[in-house]
Amino acid sequence: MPQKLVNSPLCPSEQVTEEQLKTDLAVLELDGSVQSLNRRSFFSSITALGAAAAAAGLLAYSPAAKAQAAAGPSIVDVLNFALNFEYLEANLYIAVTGSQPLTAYLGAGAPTLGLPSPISFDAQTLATVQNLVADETHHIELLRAAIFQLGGTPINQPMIDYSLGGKMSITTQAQFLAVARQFTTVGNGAYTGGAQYLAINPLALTVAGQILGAEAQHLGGINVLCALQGVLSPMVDAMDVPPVPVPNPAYFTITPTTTAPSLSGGGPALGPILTPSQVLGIVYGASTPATVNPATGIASGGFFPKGVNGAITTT
Amino acid sequence: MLNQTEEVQNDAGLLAGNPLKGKVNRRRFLQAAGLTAGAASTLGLAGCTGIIGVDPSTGPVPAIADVLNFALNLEYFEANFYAYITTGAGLPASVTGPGAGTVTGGAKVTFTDPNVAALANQLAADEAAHVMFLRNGMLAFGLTPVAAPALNLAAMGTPSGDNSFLALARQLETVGTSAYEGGIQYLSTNVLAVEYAARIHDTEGQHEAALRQFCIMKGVTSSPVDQYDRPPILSGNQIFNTSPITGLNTARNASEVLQVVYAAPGQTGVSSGGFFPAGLNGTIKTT
Repeated sequence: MPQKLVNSPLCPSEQVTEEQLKTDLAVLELDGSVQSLNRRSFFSSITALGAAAAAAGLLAYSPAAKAQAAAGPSIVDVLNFALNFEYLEANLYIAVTGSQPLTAYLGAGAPTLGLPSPISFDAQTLATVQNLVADETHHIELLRAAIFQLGGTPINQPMIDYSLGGKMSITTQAQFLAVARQFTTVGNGAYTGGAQYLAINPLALTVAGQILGAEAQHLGGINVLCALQGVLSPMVDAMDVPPVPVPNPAYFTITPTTTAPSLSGGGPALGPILTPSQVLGIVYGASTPATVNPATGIASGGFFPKGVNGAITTT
Repeated sequence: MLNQTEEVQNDAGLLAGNPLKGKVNRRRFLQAAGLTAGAASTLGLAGCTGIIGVDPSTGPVPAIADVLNFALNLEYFEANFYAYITTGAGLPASVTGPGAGTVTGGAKVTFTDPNVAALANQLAADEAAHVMFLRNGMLAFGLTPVAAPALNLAAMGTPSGDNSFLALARQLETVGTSAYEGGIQYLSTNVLAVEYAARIHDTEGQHEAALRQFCIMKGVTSSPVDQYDRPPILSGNQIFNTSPITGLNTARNASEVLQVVYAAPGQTGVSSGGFFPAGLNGTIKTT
């Protein structure tokens, strides 16, 4: 069956498929970052031009970056890994706001269990969650389009159980904010942890950086709501820094280290970072507030009864 | 260095066999076809006019040291801004480098809401930490951090209380966050630099959203700093500074960042002004 074609908003004389239309729309919006792409650094990310790029004295990737690219997960693998958690977040936000469900990306055998019913939110929290719905839905579309463009196949949504096997229910604003905060922390950590594997492709890196910029905002925004509403959101692992409620609020999930002192004696105020293994340990329900690295070999559990989809599935 | 015609021809060749077909800089094709921003909007490409900004320099790829120093300038600026607001004094000389520029226009704010005071204190602590982390990190990489530039912290007004502080901080934080997104690609040859930049960027994103939530909560409005800015509004798609089409944060290139902080919208070739009376220190300092 031929694909439906629509006019491209980028070039009116061109007809594109609906999938390509999403890319065109994204390109229009991304033009702000595309125009800042140094053309030569962009070219050097294309394998076929590697030799020519080197000859022209363009970016010479460090041995570390090359080793990372060779030994680590591929860019498509990393983007597909991230896509699991966009599905995880999006479905929750859609359910609690009674928004249009995501049905387009469900593969066979991947039902979504334990979805909460809509929650009655206050005005600012409701607007925040509606914005989350819009953003995560867009991220799903963008990641899928990017994976297609890179020649890969985006994963469909895996089986997700929001009830953690009947052990958890989300019925109040406070319960929702606590879980959303945890999901968002994990998402932030996954993106910063994955950045090293994307470094070999500056365009993928820029797109991921912009998604991270959105997820980082989500974290700060949810943290403030938690802090001001007195919501406690338990640590997902030993490195997690949940917001602290008023009257002595702490708004930022920043992982202090001993690398450099600050004026107040604290750490360098860096955002969270998680390895894929640490991410999976958390979402598989294997990690506790005492966990730095989960045990290896865990491939399912927690929110993902059958594991995540894609190439990166096991701690 | 290829001229523009050769580069466009290269792009055409690339598109033929390139898995990134369709993603390769389509805007260059519009330019090569003679479509200006105005003509593009006439043709109904309304989105293009809002995003074709001033072209960045097409010179050599910026070195990692230059990119980090660009970020460091902005961190010096933010850290001093919050330091004055919270303590009435700027960063100590021990963290601003030899020959640091004079800082004027800073003033302590007396906050009414302790939750806003806590926010200001945490922003101050984080930005000071970023200054020190970037300086120490550059030294560890064998790079030389620039000293802090001269600053005029009052270039966009002087906050006098909770609300005026929130409005101005909201405007400034969005510029810093977008700068990291625009710049991270140039760090891509060093995965450690990428990782640290991503984590600093994460904190800046958290800062930006926190300020937005406070602005919304208190009904504080702040005008857009440029055509890319989306001030916070109590609505389902403008709580966060994310595009309603892509859900992405804004990325600004160096020129766009400087146009805001130099108070030189739409101008090229500007090397100082606004918050930076003598310009940024280092290589990347001109719109």
